[in-house]
Amino acid sequence: MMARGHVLIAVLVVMGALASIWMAEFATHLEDRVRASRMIDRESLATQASAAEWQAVTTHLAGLDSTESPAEIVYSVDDMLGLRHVTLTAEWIDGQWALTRDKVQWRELTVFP
Amino acid sequence: MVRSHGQLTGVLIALALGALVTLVLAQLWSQESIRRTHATDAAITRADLDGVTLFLTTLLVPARILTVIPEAALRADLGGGVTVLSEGLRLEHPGMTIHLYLGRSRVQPDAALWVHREQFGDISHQSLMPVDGALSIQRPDPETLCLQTSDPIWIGCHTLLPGQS
Repeated sequence: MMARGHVLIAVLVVMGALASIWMAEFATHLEDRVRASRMIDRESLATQASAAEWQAVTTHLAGLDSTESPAEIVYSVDDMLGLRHVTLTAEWIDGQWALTRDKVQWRELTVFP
Repeated sequence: MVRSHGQLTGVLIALALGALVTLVLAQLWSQESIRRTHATDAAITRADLDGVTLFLTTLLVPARILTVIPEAALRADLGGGVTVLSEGLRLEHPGMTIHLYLGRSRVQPDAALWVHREQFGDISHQSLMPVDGALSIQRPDPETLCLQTSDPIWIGCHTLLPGQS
């Protein structure tokens, strides 16, 4: 009876040790996945911000007349860092708009997007 | 006497089994600690890469002109005292020029990704992260620019924004 008790305790000790190792492994995997997914989210936000910038410029240019050249274009887009505030100059040269990137400011910079 | 002998054998077997189990557990813990060391190392590298990815955005988004420049031209741009190991990227901002390249310095003899910034004559030169492998800068299409390191394996791409060339 006593021997059985000892065996049971030994088995429990081994199982406890294995469980603690497995838990540590699981926690590391989970942390990896959370980090990777957060980074992918950030990168996709950056890609969306690029698309939003082009969309904003296209919209502004559609409302501009060549006689207004040079014109200032100002727009804000959300990106992975915060609110990106962009100022461009659009000049009508040889029948098309040429853009110059004048100023980019991040407003409301966030630490944990 | 016989019973005592039997008890001694039992104790010896129990001790042997205990020692075996302890040995197996010690082996497991040892392997686990080695694996954890690697995992911690990888986590630090990944944190560096995440930091670089975010930091590069603050350099790339406001740039007006992005140019890939060969090693020799980079050396000429940066002057002496800088060890350049790869082609680089020149970012021209209003009033500021930034060079991004793989190199070494007297302070940091290991190869690293460096950012050299010159603004109205003020210069800052900082390393972003250690890089053991090579750095390559590619333009898979006219609208995209990608930076890639082989060790650590990392790739960061930037889509050209309105007003950038």
